Amino acid sequence: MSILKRWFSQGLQWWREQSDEQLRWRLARHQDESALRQARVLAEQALVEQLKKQSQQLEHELAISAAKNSTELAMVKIQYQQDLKDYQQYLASLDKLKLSLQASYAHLPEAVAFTIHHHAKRLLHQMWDESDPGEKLKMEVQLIKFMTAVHEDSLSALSLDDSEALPQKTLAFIDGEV
Amino acid sequence: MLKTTLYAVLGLFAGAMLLFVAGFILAHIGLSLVTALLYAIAPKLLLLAFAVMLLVLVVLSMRALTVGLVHYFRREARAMRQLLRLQIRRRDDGQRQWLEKRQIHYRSLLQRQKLRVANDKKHSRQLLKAITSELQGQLPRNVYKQVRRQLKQLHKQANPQGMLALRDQVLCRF
Repeated sequence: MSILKRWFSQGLQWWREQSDEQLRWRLARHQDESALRQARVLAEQALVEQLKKQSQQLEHELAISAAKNSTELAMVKIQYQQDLKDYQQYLASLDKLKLSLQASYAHLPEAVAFTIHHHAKRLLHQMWDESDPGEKLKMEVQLIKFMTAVHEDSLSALSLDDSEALPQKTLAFIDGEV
Repeated sequence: MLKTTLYAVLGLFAGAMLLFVAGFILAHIGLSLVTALLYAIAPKLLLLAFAVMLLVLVVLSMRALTVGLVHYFRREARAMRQLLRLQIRRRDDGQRQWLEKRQIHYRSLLQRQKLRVANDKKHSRQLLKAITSELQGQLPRNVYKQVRRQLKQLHKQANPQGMLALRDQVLCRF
């Protein structure tokens, strides 16, 4: 019994010593520990502040870019609508050109009128599908020249009053192109 | 604390096993009364060990859950999540803008294509009408009918060049 008691008291003693040692260690490191804890809290606060600042900046950027994007989209829409309107007008003016040619040259076969109109439309589509601005401008000038030639032919047919005449300038233009 | 508890659980398991072994040996020796006592205690000890282990697992899970929740709702974690959300929104906005632009472009392209096809059809119809009326008086009736059928077919195929070629061919022949 006394052996057990002694073992128990030794164990208890050892446990107390360990506890004391731990306590002493904690007391010795208390300042460092509290300094570390404080530094950690400060670092966390700084991080939160920085993140919040970034978020605010990003929100501001998002608001600006949303406004910019919507404006840009509206501009793009208007631009495409205008493009479509221009295209429609071009088609209408080419139709008118064909009609005026047929009115000026009453005997002109439909096949020739169709070919002239078809050529004009081909030039228009080439111009429209061209992505290079320089080439696009060149095609536009060519189309204008062609339309001018057709118009001049129509005017000269009215002044000449020759029923068998053909739109020479226009046909020469198409020949030159081909 | 955890370590101590785990050691205690292990001790309980070991004790239960030892009691079983001791009971077995004592049964062979012939001490049936002590054996019965040991066999009565050992399963209870084993059950106790299992119960303590289960309890430890529950406590550990709860602790992990609590730690996870605390971490999730910490100020810096919330700020970080908000920042990430905004970054994702910025990326999505950019993508959406690009897609909307492309959609507008394709829609415009489609509308232009429609206008072009309608215009082509209109002129092709006019051409068909002009050629048929031109050929009507110049060709024998059966040939005219055949040519007109061919012309209509070419018109359906949207092939005005073919119509013109057919016209030239027929006029050269007759």
